[in-house]
Amino acid sequence: MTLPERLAAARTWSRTRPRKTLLEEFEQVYLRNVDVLMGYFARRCRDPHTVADLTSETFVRAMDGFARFDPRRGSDRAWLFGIAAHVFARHCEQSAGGRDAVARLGGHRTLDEDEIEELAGRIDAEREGAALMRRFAGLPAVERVAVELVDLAGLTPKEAALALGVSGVAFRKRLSRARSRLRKEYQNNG
Amino acid sequence: MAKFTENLWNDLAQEHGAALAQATRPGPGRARRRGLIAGSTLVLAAAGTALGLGLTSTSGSTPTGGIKKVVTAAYTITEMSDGSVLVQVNQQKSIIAADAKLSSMGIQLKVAVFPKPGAATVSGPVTCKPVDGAPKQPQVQVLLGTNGTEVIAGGNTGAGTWHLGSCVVFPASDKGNSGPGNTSNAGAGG
Repeated sequence: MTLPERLAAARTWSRTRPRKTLLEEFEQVYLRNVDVLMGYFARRCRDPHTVADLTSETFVRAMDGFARFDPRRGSDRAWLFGIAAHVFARHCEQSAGGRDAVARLGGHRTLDEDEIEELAGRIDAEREGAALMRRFAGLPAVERVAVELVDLAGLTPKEAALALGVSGVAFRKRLSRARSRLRKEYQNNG
Repeated sequence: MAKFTENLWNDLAQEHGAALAQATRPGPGRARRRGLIAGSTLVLAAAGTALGLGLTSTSGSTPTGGIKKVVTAAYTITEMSDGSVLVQVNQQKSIIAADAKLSSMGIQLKVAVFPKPGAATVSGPVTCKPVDGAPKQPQVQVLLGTNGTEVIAGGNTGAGTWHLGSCVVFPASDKGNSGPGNTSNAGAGG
């Protein structure tokens, strides 16, 4: 069954079933977010296997914690980006330590050629975003990630604040400062 | 649709889905009852195997009015001489295993049941309504427990007395899903 068929089936059954299991709920969360999370990692990594493993690791962790996720406290996307940030930070720590981060993360996916090609295409599609990220390099890290989550990943400021574990007010200030700096930089560079 | 994202979901559901399919999310004020619906299109393929429900069936004696009977600890399926099919389940999970068995018997239908609290007012099986283009034949009936009422002892998930409010059958749409990563698709086995 293809993903569109699954979505159609989910819509059909959501009208008739009294309550979804958590696995079904999680599948919808997955379908809504897998692409944007792949993009998040594709802007950071050029290796398809790494993108695949970081995406897998994020969803494995999310799946393990989904029963504790409370949708009333924030969107699933914000929650997932919070997990993704931790996964990527851990990946960087381990890479810096000379260890095989992918192996330590479990190496959940064995990719065939089609999948590698697909992920490479995804990385390519994020090339512009990755270039923008490099232009943001001069920003403080907290401002850089604020711009990325809102302007590249498409989160709302509220979602991004939740993902980063900061208050909405603090986040909006960061975002505003970051945009202001970028505007000035753009004007100065013509 | 993207092969990686689909294969990743299949792997996630297969390796980690069973726990989530069984899990409940604590709610405020009142305990949430795990969704009793079991014949989900979305979870069947992924969770059926992982749940480890016994599919080792043995052909038993021909029942009165029946031409073929499959008896397991989880369910009993009887193909009646008039072409109809009676599925007897003793627990809500059983319907997942029964679905897989129906498929292996050449009956390309899946069953979704909608339990309601309380004892059945009328003893006996509930006739399933064909939906989503499912054929009217064979007619499928589901019998909960021995007489239409199931009592789940206190301390267990879903404790209480239940009967089937309704039942539907729909096409076994995960048939043919045979790409890499789907080798343990429960719908294909039995």
